[in-house]
Amino acid sequence: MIMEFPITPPIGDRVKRKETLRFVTGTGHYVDDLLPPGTLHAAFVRSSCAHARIKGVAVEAARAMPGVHAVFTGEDIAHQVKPLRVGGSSLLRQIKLYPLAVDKVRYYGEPLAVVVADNRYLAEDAVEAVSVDYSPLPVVIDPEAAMEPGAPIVHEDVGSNIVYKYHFATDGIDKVFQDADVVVRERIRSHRIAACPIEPRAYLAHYNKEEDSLTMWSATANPHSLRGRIGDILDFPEGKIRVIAPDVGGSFGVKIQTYQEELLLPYLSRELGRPIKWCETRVEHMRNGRHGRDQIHTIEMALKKDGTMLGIKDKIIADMGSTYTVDHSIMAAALYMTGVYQIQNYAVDAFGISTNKTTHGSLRGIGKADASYVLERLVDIAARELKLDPIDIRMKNFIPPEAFPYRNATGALYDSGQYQLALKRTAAMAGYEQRRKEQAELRKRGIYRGIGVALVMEPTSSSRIHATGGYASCRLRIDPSGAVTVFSSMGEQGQGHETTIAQIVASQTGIPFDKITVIHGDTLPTPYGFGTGSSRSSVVLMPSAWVAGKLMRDKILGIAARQLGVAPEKLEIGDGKVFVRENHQQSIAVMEIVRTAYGAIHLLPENMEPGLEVTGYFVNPNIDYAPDAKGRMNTFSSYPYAAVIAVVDVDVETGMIKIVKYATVHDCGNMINPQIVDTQQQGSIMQGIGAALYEELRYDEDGQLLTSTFMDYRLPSVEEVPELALEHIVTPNPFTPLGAKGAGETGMLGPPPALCNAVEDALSPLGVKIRETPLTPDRILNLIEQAQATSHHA
Amino acid sequence: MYPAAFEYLKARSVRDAIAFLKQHGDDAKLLAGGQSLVPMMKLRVARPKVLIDIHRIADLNYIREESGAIRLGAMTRHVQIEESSLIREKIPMLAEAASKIADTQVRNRGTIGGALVQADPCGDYGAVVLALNAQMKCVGQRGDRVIPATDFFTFAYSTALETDEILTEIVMPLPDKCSAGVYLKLEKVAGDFAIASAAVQLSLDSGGACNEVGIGVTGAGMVPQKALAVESLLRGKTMSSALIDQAGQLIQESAEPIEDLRGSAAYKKKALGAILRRAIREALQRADARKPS
Repeated sequence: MIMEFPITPPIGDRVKRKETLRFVTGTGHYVDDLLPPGTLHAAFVRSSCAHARIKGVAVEAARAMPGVHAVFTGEDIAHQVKPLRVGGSSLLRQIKLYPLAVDKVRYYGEPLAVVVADNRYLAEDAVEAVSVDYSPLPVVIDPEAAMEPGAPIVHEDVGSNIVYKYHFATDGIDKVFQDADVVVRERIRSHRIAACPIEPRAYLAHYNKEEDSLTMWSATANPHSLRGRIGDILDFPEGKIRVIAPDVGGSFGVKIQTYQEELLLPYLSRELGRPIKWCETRVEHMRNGRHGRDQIHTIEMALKKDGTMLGIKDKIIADMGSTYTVDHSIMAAALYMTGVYQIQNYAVDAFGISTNKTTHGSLRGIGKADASYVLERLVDIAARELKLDPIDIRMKNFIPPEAFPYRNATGALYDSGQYQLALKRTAAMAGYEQRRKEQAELRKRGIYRGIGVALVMEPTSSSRIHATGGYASCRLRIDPSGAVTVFSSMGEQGQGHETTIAQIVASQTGIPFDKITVIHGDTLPTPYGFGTGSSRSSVVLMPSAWVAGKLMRDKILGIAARQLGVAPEKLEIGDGKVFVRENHQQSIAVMEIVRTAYGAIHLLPENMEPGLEVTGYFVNPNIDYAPDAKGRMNTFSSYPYAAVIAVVDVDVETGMIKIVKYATVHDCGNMINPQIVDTQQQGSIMQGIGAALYEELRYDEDGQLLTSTFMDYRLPSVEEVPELALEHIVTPNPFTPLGAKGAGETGMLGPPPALCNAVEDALSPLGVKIRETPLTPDRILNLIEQAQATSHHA
Repeated sequence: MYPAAFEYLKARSVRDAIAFLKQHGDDAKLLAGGQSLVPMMKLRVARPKVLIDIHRIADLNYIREESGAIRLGAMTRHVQIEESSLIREKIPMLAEAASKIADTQVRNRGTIGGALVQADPCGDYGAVVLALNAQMKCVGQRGDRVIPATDFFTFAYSTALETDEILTEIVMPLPDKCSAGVYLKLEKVAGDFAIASAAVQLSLDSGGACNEVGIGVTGAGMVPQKALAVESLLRGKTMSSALIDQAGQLIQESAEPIEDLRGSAAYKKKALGAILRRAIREALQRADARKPS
């Protein structure tokens, strides 16, 4: 179904965000701002070993400490709660996971006991008094080593560290490789990073004994799912649980998952009859928040001499860490390794590996960032091998605009795209031709300037059975006072939903933008929906607001039509009135319609329900919930992308990289609020630059995390922002009413391949090959030396 | 990030603070701007039983020129140094060093005395006080004494101060009028601790030969170092590219950097060589403009 709907203002306007004022004036309301009377504070005893049996946990000394109300170990609660409902597909080997480790710890920092005290300081003091008797086990950190026979096993009940396997191959893949003129082959690793939202995780659980009900405040991106999981593990009626996500200071995927600590707090509150609070420290966030990336690809591409891409074979080893609960990072990579190119021959073997590292999970660009990074690096490697310009080889192989909707080898259905146009425009913005000439001149003067090209594609709005559901909803109410409220099924963590939803409803109903309030993140008033992730808000949530707006408009016009004695099609809403299009004098005030709907229902059209309240649903288009006979399926609804050209200077004496220019053209389809899209892109690009150049989670061989503070895990700041040229082209998604494709993640995908390609280009006279990231100065200098040593030997 | 329990004492004067130190001995730590100590306490790496707050002692916060030297009270904040017109005019390298410390929030709170006593091997002021041959004025129970910068840093995070002594003043002899200085820092991201840094102050005679020269570096070992061998190499010589390369080589050979997440020892040696060469070149350029004709 191709949708055609008019997009009218204020959709598409650069409307100021409703939520900005409270954030910039420090009057936002976060979990840590809440302190109900009688609140107690939790602190966790965390494993100091990466892999060990728990022989005993001595808690008596801690229980006797001042202000301590209770201490629980994993053993204490294992029989009191059910294990966590683990997500993931049927390919994922299931594990039993409790809120606190029982019998065994599997990563450094895993919670194994909890102290509840009058305040956090006393609780942390008591944590130090808990003594844990460990019997250390051999540690496995490297996923390839974890696949070897005889490797230490992380989950004995699974029996292997290979906890996920996926194979896919199109017919005739081997023949393509036999017949190819050239095959390029490379091993490329995406390194492990952390999401680092400004606000770490924060929870406050309050069990009310008299009402036998539970309220949970959580800095979550997934309130409705969390509610179900709390009900699950506590065996407590879900209807008696209310989850509230107040203002949430960023998620970047990391808060869409449910955590051990998050499920324990409701249990503690019910046991102790007091509100219990825990706010994560930054060190805890680095150790326990879900990590992202960390895939090893051994990938080959078959090509003709002229650069025509024929086929891709890939082997993916994805490090899922220890207490894994999801597997979508692997699928999101495995289904999209052919990227934006016309390659119908493809084979992949993907393995999910459990190791003694922190659990892997969602992080802005999950799986898709790994895929686009690896592929866009490989394309450059192929171009160099064939002595082709990196733009030319891409142009030659892009899926052309007329091929959309385009089904890739794995069955993914790309909605729309103009890749050639995007890259052509980016090249113009970056002054590509001129830069190439400059580059040659600069090299003569000993300046190593490089130009890196990438075109990254970001599948958005994934739908999986019971996990992300495939739909979203908004309830829209005009109350008897005339106040207009939208209840959104999805929360927000900085995306600006309070503004964009109001823009859509204003556009549909004619009700002024300023009069519309958006409520979100509270399971009590809002309709059911899945979490804010996979850039799905503008693909599926915003259309549901659009549908709700349409239903409300129809209802208002229906009431007015009867009162005015005119057909509804002849009516318009504006200036607080409904009027006849041809005769503006013939009108009725919207407030009059409100009063009618609530108080004078005898004036309503026949069979119309009283009141002004409607619920709009929108279902993700084009989703397959099961593979076809050949194993093909489409699990994402939209395919935004960005072309990038990065220009860098590499200082060959110090290894430092300076980004001279970062030019990008982005296509997320129609933009509901271009201002918000721009700022999303800027932040997203900076997060990608951080991942490419500075950020890396590093473990030592004993499995201790070496980068658990911002002293060791450096994020870029405003001082690292390069000269950024950002433009958009608009190719609307033809399958959604708003034509929007999602704008949250694409920006982050660009920097890793574009900067690696640029740095390799800069150092090509020295013969440097980059296969590992981040591009830290010591790594760059080492690579230069290795290359020089090799060339001397040759 | 919750520190262990401690007692907080507010000192109103240096005498107050010394009395507190005498009373509590090794259990006590002085709190200056708190930008290193407080994070360490929050990580429970530092666990002083008593915290003696000296950062509000007004007598310790000043920048003034007096008898051929710039004198800075130990509790002078980085931001004051960074923005001081006197410092910018007379000792630009000090303002440059202050401006490169961490971020605005840290510079608003952190103090020069606190940073020097913290003696982080990658701190910014160490190289500067060594290049300028600064004097550290200390006050203790047994009276005042002056520690030359060269004797001040004894090991990583350790200084020559006794446990009951307080650093009260840093005295920087004013460089010669025709001398020029620079502080260059190699950092992964702005505000990070230095991978390596170099402070170079030098003057040229009318013939273009190097007259006076003072050089301090960080990233060469456990403590910031005065590059004496490089100073002797340059002193009295006409500067040339070859000589500067030799200076870089010399520092590289003698350096024993600590391997950490910012790089291997081998990498840091090269980085130090590069940053020193650049600092010498920049100082030369600045000095050339001031050289007597």
